[in-house]
Amino acid sequence: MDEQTKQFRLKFKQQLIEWLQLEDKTPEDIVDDQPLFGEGLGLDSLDAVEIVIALKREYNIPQTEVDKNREIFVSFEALADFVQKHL
Amino acid sequence: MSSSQNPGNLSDTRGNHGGIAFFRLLIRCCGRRVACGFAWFIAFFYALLDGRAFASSRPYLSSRFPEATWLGLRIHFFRLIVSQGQAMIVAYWLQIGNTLPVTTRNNAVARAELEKSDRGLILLISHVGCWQASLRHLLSFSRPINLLIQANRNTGTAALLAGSNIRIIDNSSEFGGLLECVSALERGEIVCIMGDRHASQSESSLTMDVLGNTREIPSSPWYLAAKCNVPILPLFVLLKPPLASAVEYRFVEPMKVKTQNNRRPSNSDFLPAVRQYARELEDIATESPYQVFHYSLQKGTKNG
Repeated sequence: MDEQTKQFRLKFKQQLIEWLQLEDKTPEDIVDDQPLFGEGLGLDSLDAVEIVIALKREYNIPQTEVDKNREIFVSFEALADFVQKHL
Repeated sequence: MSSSQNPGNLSDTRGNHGGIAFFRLLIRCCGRRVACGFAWFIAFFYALLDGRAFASSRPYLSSRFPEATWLGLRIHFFRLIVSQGQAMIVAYWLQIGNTLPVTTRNNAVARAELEKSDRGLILLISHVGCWQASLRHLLSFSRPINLLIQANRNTGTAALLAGSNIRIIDNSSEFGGLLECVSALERGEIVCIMGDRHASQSESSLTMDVLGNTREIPSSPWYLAAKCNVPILPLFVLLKPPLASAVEYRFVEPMKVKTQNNRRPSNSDFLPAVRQYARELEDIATESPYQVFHYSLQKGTKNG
């Protein structure tokens, strides 16, 4: 992983914690290849809504793009890579 | 889903293919009025023999009729079964292309909201009377409409919607169908959501006091309204007793849920609006006690 990706992932983890108000989590708690929903980070459907709306607001990624790429919710890594490609 | 998984849902505890086929034949051959009359006869046996359904509705009936004896509760249960049977008959009656006389309440306010095509709207329906009839009403508006339901449990509803401007969003799909709801609201469409029943066991909820019982109200419609900045329009569809001879579309004043800046909405943001919705449910239960068919009762901490 290059330095730029490493930096982006750290920043994006901090953003996720802020958007989802995961007050008991730190960026280190979010493992790159762990599932985001259900097991793993334990997010739910309302968290998914929050992420989609935040991606549009913060990164100007339209929801249609997210809808076409639902596999990005499999893990933090997949989501972060998707967002980084849209920078 | 069995009644043990969802004990508050009256319809999970009865009905078989033979009985449904018989009633469908009766409706087609003899009409809605005869079928609704016959429901009184059939419901008598359910009231006597369906202990599971009686148990699931008993907390509601006990709180609605606190003075009733065991026999009294059984009689109220009988009336509840009649009413639910008639709601199913009316749903099928409409599904096969018939109509019923209609009355409305607060229609002017509702119509204004339903006709505003420049922004999305959440139509909050409930398991009261015949909710399927609300779809008929919505068909008269030339706006795309989305219905968030469990598609495989509502095949009749799906048939009713075939070829219409109403699209079903399956709440058993990924993320409970909520992302599709967000897309639809952002396109300025109407999204119909059940206000009194959870889409999934894991869905978060608020607990409200309704008729002295703690009742769970799902938070997702209110969350979507806050995030997408759209109003919520509650609608109750009541049937005129004793033979379900007319439909009343009862709209409630549109509700708004606001959050500050981009902060994530919390249950406290929804409380005033959800409390108002709970009060409306309570009023319906007081006025039409036999038309309330879903009770997500829970003994627990109350939010309001």
